Amino acid sequence: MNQSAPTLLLQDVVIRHQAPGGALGFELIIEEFSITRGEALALVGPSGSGKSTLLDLLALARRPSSTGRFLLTPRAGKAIDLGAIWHAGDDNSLTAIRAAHFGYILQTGGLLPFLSVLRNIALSQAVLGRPDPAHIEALAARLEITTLLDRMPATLSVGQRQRVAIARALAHRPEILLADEPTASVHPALADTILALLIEQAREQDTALILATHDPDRAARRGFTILPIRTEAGDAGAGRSWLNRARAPA
Amino acid sequence: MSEQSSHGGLLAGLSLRDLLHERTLALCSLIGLAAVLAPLIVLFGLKQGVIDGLRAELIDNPRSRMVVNAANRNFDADFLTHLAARPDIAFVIPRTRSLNTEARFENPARPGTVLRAELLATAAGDPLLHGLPSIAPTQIIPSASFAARLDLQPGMNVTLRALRGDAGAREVLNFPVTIAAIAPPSAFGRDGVFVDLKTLLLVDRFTDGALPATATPADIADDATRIFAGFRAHARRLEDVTRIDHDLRRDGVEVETLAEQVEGLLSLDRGLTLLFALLAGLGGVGYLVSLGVGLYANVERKQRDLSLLRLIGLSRRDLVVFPLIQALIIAGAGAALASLLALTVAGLVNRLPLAGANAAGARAICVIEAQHLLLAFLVSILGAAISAAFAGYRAARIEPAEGLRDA
Repeated sequence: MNQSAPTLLLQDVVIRHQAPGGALGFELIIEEFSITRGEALALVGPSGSGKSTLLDLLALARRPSSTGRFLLTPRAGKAIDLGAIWHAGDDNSLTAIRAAHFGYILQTGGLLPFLSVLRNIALSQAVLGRPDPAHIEALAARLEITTLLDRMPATLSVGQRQRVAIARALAHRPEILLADEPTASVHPALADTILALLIEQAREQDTALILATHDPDRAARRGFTILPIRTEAGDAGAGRSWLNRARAPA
Repeated sequence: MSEQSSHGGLLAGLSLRDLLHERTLALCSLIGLAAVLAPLIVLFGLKQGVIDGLRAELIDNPRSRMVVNAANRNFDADFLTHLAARPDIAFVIPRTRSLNTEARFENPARPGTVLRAELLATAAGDPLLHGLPSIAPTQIIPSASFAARLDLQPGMNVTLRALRGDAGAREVLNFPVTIAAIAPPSAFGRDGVFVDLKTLLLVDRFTDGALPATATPADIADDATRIFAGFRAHARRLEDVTRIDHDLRRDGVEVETLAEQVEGLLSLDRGLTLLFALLAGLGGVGYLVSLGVGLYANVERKQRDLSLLRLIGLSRRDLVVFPLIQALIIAGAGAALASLLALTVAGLVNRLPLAGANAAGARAICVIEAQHLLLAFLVSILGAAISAAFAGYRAARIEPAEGLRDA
């Protein structure tokens, strides 16, 4: 068991986007970032500061331009050097790690429209070949979506979709749960409920939770640790952002 | 990571559910494919029915492959053996002088009715009598017209009668024979009777006065030095007739063949086959392009869903399989619908009142057989797999983060 090591550790990881014409468009520099199971972090920063890019990077869905250290330490087993896997271009390993250790909630749920709610939730388990209907049942009961299981996503409200997305992201018991502005398009009262459910479920499952949000006050009220992304606007739309948890204000 | 190794069942389920979810679009794709494939199947059926039927009737007639010498000459056994040994010759039988090939026949059930017929030698494998058993010297096979005129039936016993001398001193050879079968109408258009070579030689020798009236085919000895007045040969293939005709004429043997007509028909056949190949080729390419671009567009449209599947943990290989399964389902169902449409159209075409084509027993204009439909199905599946490979290549390049912000 790895009780003390951070679940995710990044040092000197950089991701760059080229602007049209080859000029540097955007650069996100992660000087130091770490999170441990049971923690709940809220990434805050203005639009375009790289919150979503950072979540994609953490979810192994976006390739880093350069990596110093990028380590994942699961509950059981040795630390995995994700930087080395990215460097080796081993896409199958990255896919397998993403499937096993990460859960991702998108702004409007990100549900597959051709699957019922139940099948959407069960998909993350099915991909791993580890069906666990009892866990799905428990999640559905806790998130109050039991009556929605046979419905199709198109028939759900935004709030219901977000609950289903939370269930799917947690169904395979990931190490890390990423949520990209899950409350951006919901009523403030519903936003509080969603954040409460997220943090409650993450703690129940001993999962590291990273939230990208424009609403730091609400996140702070719900118990998230706020982690700002510093930004510096450049010429002609170019920009640069930094993230350093060690130097972040308490 | 071994958990990732096999997603076959999961992918099949996802692909099917996606197709069912977008059943209207899937149905449109399916109908679009069937609309391209069905005319191709009908075209193929027309080619089979009209062109190949024409070929079967006009070109594959064994008389079209026949080569006979034009005038009585002396051909020894050596010549005939060499001719028979040619790889492009399927059958050779000697002929006697044409003056000595006439015989008379009488049906015992119709006493007094005696009709004359030309005797033609035959042997096992005679293309003119294709499908009929070979005969013994005591058996005959009358031509269809002769059998009709004399009311002859298989199994009937008749008397073969040959005459020699003039009215003052006429001698008659009577030889009882059995009718083994009736020749098909295409074998010989006039009054004729196919007989064993020894029976023909018996009549020839008797007419020349070399044998008594009591002679039988048993009196014809095997003689390797015997000289014949002619031969009837058949080319193995229609395409061989012109060459055989040319070779024999070069060797000083005047022959009668249908070489010119055959060449004309073959030229027409080649032209029509090429025309069909062009039409079918263009149609087939159009079909595959239509299938391929449809699948590719589908992948582009589903980029968001495919990104999500990648994010949840499906590999690049899995994403290649996703459109492949859908392509195979659409192509298979499209081919089935196209087959149904083509069979319906073929049924209607074959009922059209076209130039006597639909008279009882006549050839069908559009012939679609089970193996043609199976071929169309297999080509569709293969085409779908090839087309889906392009779509799959695009799908495999989709990164997990590519369409997430729209999700």
